[in-house]
Amino acid sequence: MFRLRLAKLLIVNIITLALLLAPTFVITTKVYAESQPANIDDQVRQIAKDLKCLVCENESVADSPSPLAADMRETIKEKLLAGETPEQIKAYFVQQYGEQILLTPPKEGFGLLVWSWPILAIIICGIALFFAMNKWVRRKSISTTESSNHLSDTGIEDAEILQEIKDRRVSELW
Amino acid sequence: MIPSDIAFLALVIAFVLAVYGLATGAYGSWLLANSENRLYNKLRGNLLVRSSQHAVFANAFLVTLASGFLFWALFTHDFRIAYVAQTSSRDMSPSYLFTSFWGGQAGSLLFWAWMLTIFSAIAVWHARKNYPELAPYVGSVLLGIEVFFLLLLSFVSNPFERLAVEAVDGQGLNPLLMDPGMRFHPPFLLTGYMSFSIPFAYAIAALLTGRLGKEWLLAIRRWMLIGWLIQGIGLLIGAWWAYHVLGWGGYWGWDPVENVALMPWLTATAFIHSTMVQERRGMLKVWNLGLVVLTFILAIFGTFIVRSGVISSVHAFALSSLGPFFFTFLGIATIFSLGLIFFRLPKLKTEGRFDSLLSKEASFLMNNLLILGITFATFWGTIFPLISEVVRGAKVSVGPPFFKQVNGPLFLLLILLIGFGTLLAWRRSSGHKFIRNLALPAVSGIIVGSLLFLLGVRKFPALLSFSAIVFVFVATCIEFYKAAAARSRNTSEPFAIALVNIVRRNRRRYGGYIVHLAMLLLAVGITASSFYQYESTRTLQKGQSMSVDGYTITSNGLYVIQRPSVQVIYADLSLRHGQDYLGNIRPEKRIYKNWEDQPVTGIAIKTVFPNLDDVYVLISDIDQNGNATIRVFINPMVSLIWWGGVLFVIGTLICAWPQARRSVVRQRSTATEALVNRVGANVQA
Repeated sequence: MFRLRLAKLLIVNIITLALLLAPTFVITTKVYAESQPANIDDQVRQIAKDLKCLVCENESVADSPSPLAADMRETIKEKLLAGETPEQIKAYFVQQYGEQILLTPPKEGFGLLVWSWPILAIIICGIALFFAMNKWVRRKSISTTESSNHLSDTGIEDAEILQEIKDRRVSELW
Repeated sequence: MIPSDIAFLALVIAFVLAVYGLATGAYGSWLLANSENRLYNKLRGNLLVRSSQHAVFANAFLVTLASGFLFWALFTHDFRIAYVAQTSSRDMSPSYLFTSFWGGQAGSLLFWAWMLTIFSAIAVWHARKNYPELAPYVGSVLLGIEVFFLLLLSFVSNPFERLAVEAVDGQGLNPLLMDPGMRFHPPFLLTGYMSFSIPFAYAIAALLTGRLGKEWLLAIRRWMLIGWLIQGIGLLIGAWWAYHVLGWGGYWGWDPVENVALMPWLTATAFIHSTMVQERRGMLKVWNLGLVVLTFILAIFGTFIVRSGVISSVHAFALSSLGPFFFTFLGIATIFSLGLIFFRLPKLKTEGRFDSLLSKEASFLMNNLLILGITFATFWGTIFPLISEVVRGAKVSVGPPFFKQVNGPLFLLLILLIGFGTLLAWRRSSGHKFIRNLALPAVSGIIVGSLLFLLGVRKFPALLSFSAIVFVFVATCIEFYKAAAARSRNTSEPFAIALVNIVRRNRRRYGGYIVHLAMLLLAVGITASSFYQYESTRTLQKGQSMSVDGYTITSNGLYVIQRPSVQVIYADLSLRHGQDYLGNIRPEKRIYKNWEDQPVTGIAIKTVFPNLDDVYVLISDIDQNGNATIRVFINPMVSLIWWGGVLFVIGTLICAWPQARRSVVRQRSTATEALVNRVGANVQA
């Protein structure tokens, strides 16, 4: 009975964790997308951060000291002043240089693969792990009825201490 | 015949010896295993194994000799050797000349192989004394890895290759690499990559012998910890170097080369945790073996990527002469180990005693899930451009925003998990007790979070991260406090001494907690600098000033110093915070001889106390009128990352330091002590 309640508790925990996980993803994504900086230079920087400097090793247009990046920053500024949205500006650069100009692939089409797989992998493995653990716990509860659980009569704490002493001996050996 | 030919000869002989040792070691081990108690077979097996171990020792000597020759060639400017001409020059100061050793591909591989032969010799010597049954196999596997690297050095990427015509002077090292970080970062990272070979050798030895009990786990635990430490130091120095040299204001760019170095470290972290579950509960045997194999494979993969740059394009891979060799080796290693694990599955049955989902064991499994999730996301993001190029023919980039958005939340959960794991007991925590233990840390986290909100920290992920950090910090401190208080009560030692003693008596546990605290310091620095970095760029004439985030920087003009091999241009700037004068800072541009087209940026960093902001200033450009364009970053709390790194080293050393062997009586007394401490702690709780 008690164990069943614990299992329920854990299910609740995992769901809470999942609920926690989902909004953090959404929020971080949104913070990246939404935080509208006040002055124009910061806005330029915000857009330039998502663009790759094509003549550098792994640097964004915002960070690169190269002349090409400086030109691109100037272009972004002009377009912003002309009233274009960040999306329009990025689309312009994609048209000019191809998709590789974006530092992250779009979350659609083929680009969605890069985003979805890690998250899917964790969720699937998490579920598998949960069921595996559940199985191990159940197996244990069957086997303990026959033997070896005399410790639990004296309470969890003592069992833990005895285990610790045993482990201590082992750890002394290395 | 010049000295370098002798060195090359040494490498070739080492290669031959490695092949010989592998063959004799394997055959000898087989004879020993199948001796059927026939003395003759046993003797023969023993002799062969001995001979193979002598090959390991001889190789350590031979490769050290070859490496010594490369150092010698670098210091004597022997430009008959292509590698020396490529990576060094006459005007390099001796303090950097030795870094040319690992300044190129062939030298890096030689360094890897050199460390491997030395570590192999130590490992075999140690195994022979402590794990005689495993030793022959450990030696053979290590020789197998040596065969591969010595093959590369002898026939594919020879560091002693001669030039047709002796060069007058060398090209020298890329000036970006002329930095103190370069003296330590590559050797630590290469040694780190290499060091995961030894746990791998033990894992294969255990699989081959079928001795899959606690023995091999005990044997590799410390080797893994040492590798983890070395790799960790390599990563941290790399971050430090990037921060001080590259000039984009950050320390970690999610560059492919960084990613591949991080991955084996992550899987090793997972192993260090999950191994405890096997140790105590006899579970997860297959899983742990898998982690050791995965760590090794990622380390080899990383070594390859670091020195070839293939990730940038499929074409680079085709051009790289090393590619096919590395991938063949990786393929063999993977298939061989997975096959062995599969073959041994019947022996790897879990002794499965899992008491509750609300236990430390369960939290370690969650830890593994998250860490492997991060590893997978990192791997996937790193190779995705290649996949896109192959599948669609279109290049895409996967850059820092991707890794931050995917790995950021996962790291946050991992930090939270440290807190939960610390509070959970082995086997089973009672729900009530757990919630009671949770109360103080959780409340502290929430209070600090709200305070920060009131103080103006409004970015939600940052708030969440700081609250989680405080939660874990309080939970960890309570662990220390409870144990020390109990000990101090029971032994009437003063609290401070009791605190030192509990750490000394249970180094693995409290060393681990110290590493957790180090990770918290890192987390504070990373969170603060990722969310609250400010930047500004302006061209300043003499007397003009710029301000960013409350700091004012005034230019006192540009100056030039001419040195024999380098011209240094520096800007003299005075720094103020509000009205307070904080001193002068001098960012530089250095123009090295032979590298005039690549001026190096000398960044000036001033850490301002007590708010722990790094004022990070560099010259991004100098115009025709001689005015410098100054770029300023305000990076909050980055210095905490370096202090966290120091604490990480201390904590890991505490974990790994050999516990003096004690007499049985003494052991018993420590066991009693543990009992006393625990009971004390529980009474107090």
